[in-house]
Amino acid sequence: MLLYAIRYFVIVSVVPPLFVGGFAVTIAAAAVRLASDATTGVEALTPVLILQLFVASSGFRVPARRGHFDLLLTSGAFRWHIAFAHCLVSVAPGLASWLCVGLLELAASRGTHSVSFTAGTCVAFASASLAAWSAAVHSSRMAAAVGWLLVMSIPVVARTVSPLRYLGASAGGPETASLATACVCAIGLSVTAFLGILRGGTPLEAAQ
Amino acid sequence: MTDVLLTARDVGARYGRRDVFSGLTFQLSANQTLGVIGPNGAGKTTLLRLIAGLLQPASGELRVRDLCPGLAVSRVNVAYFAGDSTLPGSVRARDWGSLATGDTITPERRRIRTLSRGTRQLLGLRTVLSRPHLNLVVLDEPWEALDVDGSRWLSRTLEAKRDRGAAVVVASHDPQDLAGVCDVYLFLVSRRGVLYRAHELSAAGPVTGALLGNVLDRLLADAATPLRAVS
Repeated sequence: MLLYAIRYFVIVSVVPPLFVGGFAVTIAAAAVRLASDATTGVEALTPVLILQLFVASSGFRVPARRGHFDLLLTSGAFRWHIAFAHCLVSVAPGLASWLCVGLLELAASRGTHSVSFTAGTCVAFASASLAAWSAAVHSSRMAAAVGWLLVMSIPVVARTVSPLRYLGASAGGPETASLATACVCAIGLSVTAFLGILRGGTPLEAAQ
Repeated sequence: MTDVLLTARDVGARYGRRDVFSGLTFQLSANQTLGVIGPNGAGKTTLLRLIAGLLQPASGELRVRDLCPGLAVSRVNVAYFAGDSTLPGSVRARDWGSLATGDTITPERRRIRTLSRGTRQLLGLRTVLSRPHLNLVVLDEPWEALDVDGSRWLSRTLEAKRDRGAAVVVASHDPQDLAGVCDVYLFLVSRRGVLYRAHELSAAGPVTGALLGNVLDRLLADAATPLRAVS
């Protein structure tokens, strides 16, 4: 049933093809940048992470209230399978792009230099993916996008909340406590989002 | 002995502070069809979503094979469809049709949003009704936008599902749709439900649309009388 739920969300285009194209463009741009200078891994990863914030904010409740997930919700699939599949399909393109850029960086530096797989980068991608997905579960993609734009554009908020600052950071550095906090917050948010999908009713928008 | 599939005891629904209905009590057995009739906004869609496990009742108890509907959907095969507007427009018809069983039910490659309303409705119905071994069929205004052939196909299919042991729940605001196809009729009027068995409505023959319309009008008039007195 988990595979069915994953297939359902792929067919329903939780991540529209336009966004997948966006990731392809960021990977191509990263390849060009890394080919000329293999030490610019953080700069190459930045657009991927920013795009991931918007793409992973796919939103669950709004399409569910429009009835788009009725077929799945009444199929007998467990709710936690549905929640997990939705999360996985939402974050997978961004995580795959991160992996691609990481491999490109390793290839460009012939294995000598990599910021793509430091603890900070891993936390940045994992926490950004989970936080973005969780934040959008009860809202729409548009509302989440506005939220992320505010986070990125207000300097004080960006310095505190933006996952971009973790890119390239190492586990033993001054950011260690901050990395741990980001992990805890992302896990807390995703547990809340999972519970929301598990327990929440899905009234039809038109029926309320 | 009848095989009771659906039991509602004093069921009520609420959105925020607004009561949709309360005190609904009925039973539905396998091989039976329940028709839910009521004006727009009476709570038909809400009741059907409660039965399909997509909502929890605000009061009372709803059971599908002795389980709450949310759990029952993983053990009882349910077909639920709430109308063409619930289909995601960006999905290709062929892909959507394959979601119920994995088999292709239509070769149509166009996106759902580009199809006519009747075709969308038929696609949604065919998809959910293609699920095998259905125990419970829950359809909201299923005849809406269907042409004559589509309507005939739907009526025949519902009859066949019922005869194979499914309990069927269909809702409509148009009494004509449900004439003669149901064993039990639930009229939702002014936040309450009134239940009639088909033979109680018409001992002589099949229940007609005109008869259902008259009953609905009478219930609406009865419900409006105290309001007129107050004003």
